[in-house]
Amino acid sequence: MISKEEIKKLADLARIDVKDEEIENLRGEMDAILGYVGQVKSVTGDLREDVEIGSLRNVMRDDTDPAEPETHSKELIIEFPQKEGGYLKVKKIL
Amino acid sequence: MDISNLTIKEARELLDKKEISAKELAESCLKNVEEKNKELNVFLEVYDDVLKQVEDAQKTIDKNEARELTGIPLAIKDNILIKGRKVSAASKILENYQATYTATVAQKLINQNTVFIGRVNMDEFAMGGSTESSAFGTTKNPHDTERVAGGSSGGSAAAVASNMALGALGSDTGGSVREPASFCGVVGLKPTYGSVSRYGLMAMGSSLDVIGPISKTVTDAEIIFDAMKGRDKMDSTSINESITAPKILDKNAKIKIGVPYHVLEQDGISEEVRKNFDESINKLKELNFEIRDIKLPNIDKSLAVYYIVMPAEVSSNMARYDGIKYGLSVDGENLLDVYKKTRGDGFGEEVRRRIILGTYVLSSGYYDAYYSKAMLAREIIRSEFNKTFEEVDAVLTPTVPFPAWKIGEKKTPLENYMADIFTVTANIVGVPAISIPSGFAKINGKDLPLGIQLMAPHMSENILFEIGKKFLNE
Repeated sequence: MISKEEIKKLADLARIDVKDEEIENLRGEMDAILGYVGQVKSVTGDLREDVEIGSLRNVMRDDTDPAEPETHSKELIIEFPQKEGGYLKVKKIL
Repeated sequence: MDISNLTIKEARELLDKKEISAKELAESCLKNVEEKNKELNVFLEVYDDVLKQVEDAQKTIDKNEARELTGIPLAIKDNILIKGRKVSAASKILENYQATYTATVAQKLINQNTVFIGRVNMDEFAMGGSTESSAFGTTKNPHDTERVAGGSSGGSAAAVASNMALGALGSDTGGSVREPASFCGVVGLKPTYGSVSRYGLMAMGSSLDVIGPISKTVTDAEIIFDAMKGRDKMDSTSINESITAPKILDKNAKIKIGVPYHVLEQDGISEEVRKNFDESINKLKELNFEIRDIKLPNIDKSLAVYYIVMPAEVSSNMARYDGIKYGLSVDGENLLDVYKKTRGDGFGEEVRRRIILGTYVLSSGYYDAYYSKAMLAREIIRSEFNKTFEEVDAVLTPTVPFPAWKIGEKKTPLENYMADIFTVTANIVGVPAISIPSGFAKINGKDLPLGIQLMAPHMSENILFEIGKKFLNE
């Protein structure tokens, strides 16, 4: 079974605070889910080369015509949880 | 006459003939919201400017410039953005968020003077099949209020089924339009991946997501789809018919519908669903469709593929909710602490679980065992479908293996995921699929709606509409 430490590490990687009792539940649930999805390993079959439809492709464009400065600033700044003047305020980083 | 039970097509005619006004139509829906919303928990917000929207629509109608959806009251799922309006994805993390731009589909409908009544409930960030993961309570099924309306677009389906709106927008990542439509006895269309712009739809699984309509009839689903579809420069994955052409049906030949009977042999399919499915096949035969037994050898692995690919994409997409740029922000000792507390408090249990699961399948050491195998399996299933569509025009399955369950009845995540067994395939492959009401299961004296699902080749929604209209006698 997936260990408590492993779940804790995943939660840390995902930047989520997870309480101890939830970690215990997650162990069982993840085990059941991983047990089920593990059947993808048994898929075998032919891949055809001729499929264009539905397949992924790169879409490129020139990096031009930027919006005028401050076109969207007002709406975006309103949504900042912490702000000072027109700036986004965050905790000290260094 | 209760005009809230009109179809969009019927309402269009009456509006254009000036036999009803846009105001009367919207008010008839709002009356149902007022009477039933408290019990059913469908609308998270009724917009305060409905009457203004109605006035604008009526002016357009009076100038004889009405288009298909002018003055038609619709409900919108709480994950599609309209600038200046609240949109929360039924999550605490976005509870007070106001959209800073408008989704392309919403703009297209606004340009037609469609009347948006309000935003409707869903599973948090569309993760679930019952709205039980909504941070704002579960939507109840209008056919039996002890049961779920389905999900994640449960509010959209319940709004249409209880005449609170003439149609609704939902989004479908693994069945989120079709499953609630089936549970509520209405029509739900998941269009071809890319045929409708995702710009302004909150991303869940970016390679799977698509916006789709929920409506009373197939004709109405087609009307909404036609109003929404098309390539959009703001969504580089969007396509139009010049990129992929629909399959054109030979008018003189019988339409061939393939049934993968082998998938009906697995456990967990309710007797009522199986019986109704067989009856539906007989009905289709009587309607002069040709039914063929087909094999899709790996279709039963779709659910496993889905529950690897989707959480992987979820874990990436949810990274943007960090308590810094917008939404909930929980204070902490340092920046890392702010992230962790905000995401721990702001995301509900199912969202946290999927992010952690996605982080696992993408992490070094497990990537090859899960994600990379799932991507290979996805290609194999896609290839099996393309081959199948050389033999048949459509593929038929039940929409969900059982009718709507009782609120709180399903205890484990995996039990919940099993509801998606027939629907996820279309998202894995990218093909269009529709759920059509096919009758009822009588359980404890209540009639619970059932649905059948049709899938067609990429961009061939026309085939789904053709079969669906005949099936519902439209």
